[in-house]
Amino acid sequence: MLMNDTPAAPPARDIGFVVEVMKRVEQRRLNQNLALLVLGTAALTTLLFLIMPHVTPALTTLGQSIWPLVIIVTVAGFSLVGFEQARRAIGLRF
Amino acid sequence: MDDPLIRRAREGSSEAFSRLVVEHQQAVRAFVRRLCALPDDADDMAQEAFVTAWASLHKLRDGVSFRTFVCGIAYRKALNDRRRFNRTGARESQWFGLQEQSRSSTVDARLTIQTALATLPLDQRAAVSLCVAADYSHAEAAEILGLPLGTIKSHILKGRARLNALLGVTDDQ
Repeated sequence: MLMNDTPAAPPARDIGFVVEVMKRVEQRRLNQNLALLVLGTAALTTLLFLIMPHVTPALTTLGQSIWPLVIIVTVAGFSLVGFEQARRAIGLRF
Repeated sequence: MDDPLIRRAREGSSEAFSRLVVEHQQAVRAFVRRLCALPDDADDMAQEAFVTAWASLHKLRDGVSFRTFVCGIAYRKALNDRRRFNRTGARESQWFGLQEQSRSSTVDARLTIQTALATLPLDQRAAVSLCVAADYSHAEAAEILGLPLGTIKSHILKGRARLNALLGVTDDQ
């Protein structure tokens, strides 16, 4: 009797239900990513706040020659982070 | 983990996880609907169970199916909801000075299966829903409900006897 109790049986395919679940999943993923980003930014800001007073004089004494290297490292770092984010978003694997 | 969908979902693939939801939504929703009074509440709880499953996929052990994993999460959510409901109900009863109604007065002679099922304690209802109303094994039910195998068997026996008494059927029907 219980197995034939049809009112309890949901449809075998229900796109509306799946869409609602995935909406909640993406919402949670967004919240997690935002929280990570905010925490990371706060940690980086604190780190820079602590070390920059000691690093700045050293950088100044090294002169202009170090700036191309700084720019290359910065661009490479941003590119790597961007690439990793895009790879995760589209589910690409290597 | 053998299932490639679960492996891909763990690696962050939304497409793989949505396919898991498509495959298992019917079984999970049918189980949750038997635990909750209203189908809308049940669907909401089933959706939350899938979202929690997505967030804790790393906890899915080898040898445990995805369906069992999500049903276990849904059952724990139902238990928490029931506890919250009981606390709220107790507070409201105190506030309004209401007397709790006796259960026997609410039992109608023409009980439907769902109504009869709803009169069982949650753990018995869950065990009967899994092993009698659906095709879960006793071991799967024990995994989902987090109870020993002997307790599951006892819940099924007691639940079935009570359902038979309420519905007025013999055990072989």
